[in-house]
Amino acid sequence: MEQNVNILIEITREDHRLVSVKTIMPTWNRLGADGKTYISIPFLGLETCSLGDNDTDKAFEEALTAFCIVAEKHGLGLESELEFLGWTLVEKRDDTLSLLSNNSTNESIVAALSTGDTRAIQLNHLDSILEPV
Amino acid sequence: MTQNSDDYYPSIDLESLCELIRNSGKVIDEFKVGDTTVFTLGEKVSIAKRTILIRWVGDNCYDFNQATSLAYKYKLMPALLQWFEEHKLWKDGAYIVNQ
Repeated sequence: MEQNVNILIEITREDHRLVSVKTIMPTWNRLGADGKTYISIPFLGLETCSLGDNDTDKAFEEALTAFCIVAEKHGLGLESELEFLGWTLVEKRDDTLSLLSNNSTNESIVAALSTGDTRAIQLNHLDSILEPV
Repeated sequence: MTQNSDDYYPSIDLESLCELIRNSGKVIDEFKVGDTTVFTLGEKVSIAKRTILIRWVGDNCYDFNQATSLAYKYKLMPALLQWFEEHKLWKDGAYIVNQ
């Protein structure tokens, strides 16, 4: 059985400034003793929580935004910080667009990945959130 | 299951958890994104290993699993266990019962 798990991120920059991020990746949820949903986002190395299904996308969006801000402000930039987490660059167009993936060909890893919930999200106007350098 | 059962693990309120993180002396930045407070620690590792998210929703507490998992990852376990002992009378896997 062939399984296909897409783990991708597309990063757009203008004049080296981060503008938008589009991603698809799995997350794993755990129902806490307190009724909250605890969310593990291993492809960003982060954990957060939500009030349930309707709130989980918002929690994920906040986590991704936080990762982008910290990577740009305190790290070596979003692309490099993702590479530290095992992401690899698949395509780079000028200085404006980078596409990274985190796809494993190992069958057991791919099978494990398919147990997660897939989240797809797009963040725009990151340049207005990030303070001007 | 009663409150005193040893199966009932203590939780921590987020204000106290944030204080434990700030008291670590390693925080170089703190800001908010929506309901999430973001802490960045000043260690020389990739940001994924030094970014802590605390999300203020519902009862504004983290359950035992989440609190200990974060504390283990960011080396805050002694402070967290001390907090559980002082504020929840919970030590070494059980609630302290006064004889």
